[in-house]
Amino acid sequence: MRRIGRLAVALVVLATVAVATPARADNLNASCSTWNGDYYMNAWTYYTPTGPYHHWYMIQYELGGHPTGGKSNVNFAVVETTGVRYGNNSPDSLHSYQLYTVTPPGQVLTSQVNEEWVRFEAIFDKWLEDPRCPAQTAHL
Amino acid sequence: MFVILDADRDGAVLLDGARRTYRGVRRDAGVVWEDRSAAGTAAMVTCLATCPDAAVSAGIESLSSPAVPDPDPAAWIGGQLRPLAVALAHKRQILTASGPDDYVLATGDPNGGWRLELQGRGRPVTALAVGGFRTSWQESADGTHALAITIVPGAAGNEARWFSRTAGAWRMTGAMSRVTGFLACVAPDGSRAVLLGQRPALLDRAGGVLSVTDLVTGGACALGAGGGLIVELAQTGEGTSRSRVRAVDSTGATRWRRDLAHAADVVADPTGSRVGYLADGVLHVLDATTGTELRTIADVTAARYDAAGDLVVADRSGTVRWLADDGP
Repeated sequence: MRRIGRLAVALVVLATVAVATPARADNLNASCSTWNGDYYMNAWTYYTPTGPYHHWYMIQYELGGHPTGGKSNVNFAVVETTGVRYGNNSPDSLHSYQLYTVTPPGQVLTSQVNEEWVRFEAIFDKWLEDPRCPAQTAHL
Repeated sequence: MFVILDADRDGAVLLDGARRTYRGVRRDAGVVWEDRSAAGTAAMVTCLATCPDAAVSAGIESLSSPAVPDPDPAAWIGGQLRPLAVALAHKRQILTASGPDDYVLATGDPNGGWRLELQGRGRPVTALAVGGFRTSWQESADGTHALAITIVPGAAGNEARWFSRTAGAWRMTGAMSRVTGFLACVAPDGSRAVLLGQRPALLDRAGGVLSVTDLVTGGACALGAGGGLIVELAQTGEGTSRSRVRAVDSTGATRWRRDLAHAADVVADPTGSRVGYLADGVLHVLDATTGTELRTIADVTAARYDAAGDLVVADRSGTVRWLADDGP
């Protein structure tokens, strides 16, 4: 378990890789947007079926909308009906209009016997209050 | 929801998601065994010499952590569940088996290290040290070639090893190579594999890697005698599914493509040029080279080709059929 713990820490530090890209969608097609439409998030999760499992191996997200203070967050969890299989909280330093890729360490498996999905929450760094928007994938 | 966990010309093992059970189906006799316990732990299943005789081992909890021991392996043989006489160890996952005394085992423990044990009938065990507790094993359609990929967290890459089966025993061929992916599908002649869980690439038996297609990452694949399909599987945060299907030939060149708004699975005929993708309950059978649609089959929830080139399909009721006449 200690090994997993170290790897989880390493994930936060190393595996959250930001690659500058243009925004891929406006907030009309966003995974979620704040109540006033000022901020939005797009998210994608990649998986592979293997035997009775789905193996979740890459999660990507990007933020957009009005300017932020550059300290936004995205938290997500890979979930099945029996509980959370993997959770990840981003560093407190996300910028808008960058595509972030998270590669979980080891294996994140969910059972195809259960319903499986990924839920997200974006927290936008704004003066006085930090608006949030939740999103989730369809259930497999 | 149904998943064909393994199948050959004699039978199949089906995961029935609604009833939360595994079912062993004989082509000529219907259901011959059912295993709710194995489904409850999401155990791995691999057919023995003929389906639905099958080895049952590991489970989602032990596959998710090196610290969790595997349950005792067992095998369904002739409709009866029997323990498998595998040496006691912390991890004991059956990667492939043709019988109770002929198998490849992923074993070891966090302190002593991890290894693959190749057990042939009446032969001494051959042990190979590997860098992690979790190894995937994909065989060619005729069961004579295999690619094992061992996940090595935090390393420069995962470990890929090729194997061949001669005189009733598996042996490693060539040197270990490093790959990014952790799953693969092997060509019918065992000459190459498509790597998944990374940007799709062809891996040859010498360890050479050739990136293929425009996909960001490969989620599923199937290679036939006349080409294959690779599909990128993604879920979006807006609650939709997206699949991008690419047909590749033996050189890795993309021959045609389909982008779908559904989750998809792919199949390929190991004896010919037919390939197919399954999306939204319809199996589309196409020519691997031209993309010409040869046939559509409705009411399909799971599909694969067996080694003889017959389509094995499960419908919405979970009935498994073998479709021998599959068009040109």
